[in-house]
Amino acid sequence: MTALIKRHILCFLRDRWSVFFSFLSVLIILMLFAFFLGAMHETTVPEQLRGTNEGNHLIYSWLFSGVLMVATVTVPLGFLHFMVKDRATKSINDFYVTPMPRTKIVLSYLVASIVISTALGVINLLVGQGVVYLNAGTFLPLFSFVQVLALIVLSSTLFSALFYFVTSYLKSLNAHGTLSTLVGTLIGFVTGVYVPVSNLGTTLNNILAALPPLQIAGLFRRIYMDKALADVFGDATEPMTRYMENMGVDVVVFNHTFTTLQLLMLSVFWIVLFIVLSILRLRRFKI
Amino acid sequence: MISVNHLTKDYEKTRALDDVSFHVKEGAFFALLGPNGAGKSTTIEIVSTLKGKTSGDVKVNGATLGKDDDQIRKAIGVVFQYSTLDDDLTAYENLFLRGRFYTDDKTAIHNRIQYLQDFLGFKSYVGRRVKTLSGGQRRKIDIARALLHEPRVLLLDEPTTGLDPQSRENIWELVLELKKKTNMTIVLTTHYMEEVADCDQVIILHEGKIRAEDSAEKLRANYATDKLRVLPKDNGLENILKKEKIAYSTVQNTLHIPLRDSFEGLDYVERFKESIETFEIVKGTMDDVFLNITGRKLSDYDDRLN
Repeated sequence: MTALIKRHILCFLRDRWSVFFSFLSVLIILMLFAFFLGAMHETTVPEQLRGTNEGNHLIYSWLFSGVLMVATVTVPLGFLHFMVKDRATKSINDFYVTPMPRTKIVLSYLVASIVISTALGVINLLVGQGVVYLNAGTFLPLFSFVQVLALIVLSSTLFSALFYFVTSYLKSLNAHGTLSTLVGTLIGFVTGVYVPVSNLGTTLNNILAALPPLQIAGLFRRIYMDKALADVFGDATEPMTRYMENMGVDVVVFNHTFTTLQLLMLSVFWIVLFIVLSILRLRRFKI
Repeated sequence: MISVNHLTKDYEKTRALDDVSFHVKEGAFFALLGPNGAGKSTTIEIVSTLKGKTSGDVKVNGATLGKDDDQIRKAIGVVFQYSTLDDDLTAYENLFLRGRFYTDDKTAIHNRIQYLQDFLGFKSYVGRRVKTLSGGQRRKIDIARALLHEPRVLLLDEPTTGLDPQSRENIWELVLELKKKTNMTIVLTTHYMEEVADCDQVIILHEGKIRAEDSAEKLRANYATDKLRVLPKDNGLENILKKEKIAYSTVQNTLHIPLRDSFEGLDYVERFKESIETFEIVKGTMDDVFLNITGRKLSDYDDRLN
């Protein structure tokens, strides 16, 4: 199966447009931030800290925790374009006539998706840390860095499993293109990157908080922004809570704020759910 | 080597194969001939374990389809109608990664690729990305990929379809070379008449049923007619033929006289030489065979499809 995984990853990386479009949402977020959202975020920082390293740390940590999360959504979806393509062009038949078990062939796409999303996520994290350092003069503490790495794996696995299941229904590259456009457009909203989640209204907020993207975004923000939040708000619990709820650091459903452990357990639940659904789906199709 | 008994394949509304039976001997060069939709590719897809059958039995190299599919997959190499290579990988990467499906011995795979690049003649472009290769070059790599694990049976599903005439000829020469230099059993599907002329055994499939089976030579002898093509000096020859009740047809300004064999043609030439400007004896073709068996020319289907 290693050879097949290597093949999928090589094909993806050599197709520059696939890589580019996988990161398009991330690029759009960065551009929006540079031209529009940056100024708005200045106002989220207590007045006396605006323009300081602490203030910038809060803003840039918030930005790159969101960017990291969004990439673990769009990269698996972009990568799974190859699975749809192999089926649509019947290239997968060439694998099926070899002694490699079909289960392994089919699972190789899922594994490759997790690997490529994790690898690009790590690069994303390092680049983000570089930008944070340039603007705020600080890095993530080592323990938080390791936790974020683990989160990248978790999020890559979750969204690989989710899109693996969804794309198993797609029979054409056009359908995949439409789905990618839809996800790319919505992801900034559903994770509260374009607009703070508190601005979306209670009903929509409750719905989004019950779904994986905002839950994972909350996890990323909690860990990535831990130090920045402490530096900026210190003991001021109320302003910190307000900021965390407004900016999607806290994930709140019907006035219940999920704890980090609950969010982690929910993530595992989503992963198991989509893997089980994928297996059931594949069995039905006797692949 | 391959044994197909009473094979039937139904799709939702159509029967793609209807009680098809045939046997391919080890080392044979076997062809399934028919127009698009005749059931050729379905047969290949079932034999290569890609598609299930509705009924019937299939055995490949002693392994039973549906029970020992892995053994069948080890014994076969398949070249599909469409290229299955990855455009953004080099020819070598395509071959090497595929070789890993069969063995972890990287040196053995490398050596096999080196052997195949010399044998099939793609050394000069083995390091190039597939998207930069011509149709004929890609086809060679497709064939090499099917041969990586030294299969006992090579299944070629319309290997020359979609190629330009020059590439088609090159690939066909390569197939003949393979046949000559290896003892592989080669199963070919085609709708090109000229390709089956070299085969030991030919099956004519039409609308999912076997309409004839024999060697190309015997099919031609039984179903195709040699003819004498004559350019007459004047109307005199036509009058003689009518008078002697010899069947003929007129094509433009030539007369075509069907023959029992080539010698009969020589006899006619001797008898009517005063009225003949020029002549030639045309051997019956596989196209005639198809026409006589199915009532239609194979090229009619191509016209319809194009």
